Amino acid sequence: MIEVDGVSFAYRGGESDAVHALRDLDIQIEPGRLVAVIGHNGSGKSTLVKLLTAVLYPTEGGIRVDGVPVRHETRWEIRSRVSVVFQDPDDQLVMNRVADDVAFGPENLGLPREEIAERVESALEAMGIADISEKIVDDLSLGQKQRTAIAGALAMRPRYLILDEPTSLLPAVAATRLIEAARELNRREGMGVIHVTHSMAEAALFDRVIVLDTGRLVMDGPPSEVFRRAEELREIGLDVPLAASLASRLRSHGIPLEGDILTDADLRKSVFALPRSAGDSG
Amino acid sequence: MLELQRNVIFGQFVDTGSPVHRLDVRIKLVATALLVVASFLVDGFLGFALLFPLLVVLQLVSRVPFGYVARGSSFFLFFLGIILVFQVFFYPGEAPQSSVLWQWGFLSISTEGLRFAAILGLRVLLLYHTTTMLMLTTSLVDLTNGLELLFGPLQKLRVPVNELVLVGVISVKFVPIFISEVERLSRAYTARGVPFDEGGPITRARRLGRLLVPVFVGGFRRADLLTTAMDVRCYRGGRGRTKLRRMEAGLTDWLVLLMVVVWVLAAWKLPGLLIA
Repeated sequence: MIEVDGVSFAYRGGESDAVHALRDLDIQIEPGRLVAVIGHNGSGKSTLVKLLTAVLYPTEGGIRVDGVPVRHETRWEIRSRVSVVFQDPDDQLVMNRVADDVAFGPENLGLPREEIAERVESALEAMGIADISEKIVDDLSLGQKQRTAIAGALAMRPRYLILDEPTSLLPAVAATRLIEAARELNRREGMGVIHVTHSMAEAALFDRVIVLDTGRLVMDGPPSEVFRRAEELREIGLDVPLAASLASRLRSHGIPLEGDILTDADLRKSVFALPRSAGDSG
Repeated sequence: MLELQRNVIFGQFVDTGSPVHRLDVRIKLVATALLVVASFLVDGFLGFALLFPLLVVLQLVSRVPFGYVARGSSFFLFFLGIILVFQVFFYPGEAPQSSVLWQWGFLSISTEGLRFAAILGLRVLLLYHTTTMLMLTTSLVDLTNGLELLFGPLQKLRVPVNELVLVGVISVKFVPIFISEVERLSRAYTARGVPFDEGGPITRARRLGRLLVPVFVGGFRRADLLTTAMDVRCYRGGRGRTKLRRMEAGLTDWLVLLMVVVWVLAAWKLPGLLIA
């Protein structure tokens, strides 16, 4: 369980020109859940990620990960429970051979060689890149590099995996595959995945959506609930997924679409499920 | 258009899986060090003539295409050429056996100046080729592990060997990234009408100056991100780190080292014996 309790964070805290990145944030995330965090630039998403990985510490309030308070003294303990993958793989891959980079984290933990080898192998397999383990990072596609970065995080065997906008540089197909891989991990290993994104379509694939705006929590709930508040989302510079927005306009024209519509697939299903007469009259 | 990536290969790693790549990294580092020392000890054309076949063998066995290395060294060779020209013109030329071939004011070309510049050129080429081949055929992990072991004894003097080696190795990794950044920026400028490949050398150099600030800012940003990324992956210096890769020096590795030692000794001592 990740407990964020009344957390505020200000860059250059205490000074008069302090910039408040987060204000009075309360969030609880149970283990093994798929959570999306959305918000536009400057909403405090990245600051939240840094607080959860003990890179920064709250100016006010406290954070606990599985009961361990996030403090400078507990940072290694926290980082072995929470792993993070950042936006640009070029900025986080340390070594130039895929297997060597994936091994970097477990090597830092001081694990015996056999266990490192086993972790590297299973992480590479989970990301479907076992066949390129001896390749040079520079020769890979961006999607493969990003998978390497995620495998590096997985090899830490974290309870929670944070993905900090890892899809924003990827082509749409690669991004979808990455999200699928994350969901698969969650299903199979029960690993909690916290996906930070500004893609509404991606957020729709998660169990829960947390919306941040200028450092405050503005919405928190299942995607169907959050995306129903399309007007409010638009006011803070966010948009609902195209399928959801199209569905709500169709409904306003009197077309009786059934169920929660978040993705293209949902919309297709609802449209095909329409009774013939509704289609004829509309 | 600036095309740097093809013309600068420093810091790149070309994995051909050749015997040179598979050589134990400690042996490789010691052999490189020997050749570096040899480049200073050897003094005379015969010595270099004896050493250069070794480089040819190294190049062939490594299966790194020679064209790739040659093209990747064009920037370096260009600068080396300029320096050697200066060496020739400004050589004092007071040696007794030296004869002046051409003189104009304080500029002169003497036989001794030519000889000196040629030896210097060969020396730098040897140095450059061996270190470049080391980089091209050694992965960062091998390089890190090897250097850490070789400099390990310094740890007793409280030198933070692990950290220094990793910083060094990472800076090597950043060179190609920086080069691609310069290329990307120069393309962005070119698209907005700054011609990097027109005008005289001074104009060109001045235009390149515009790239300096954005490249440095980008460099700091990347360094910051990488630090955070290493931090969250629990990197806390060398303390308590274990290794995935095992280093094993077999018979072949030792034989290679022996061969390099003999070859270097021959190139150093043989010319003197032959002349005497």
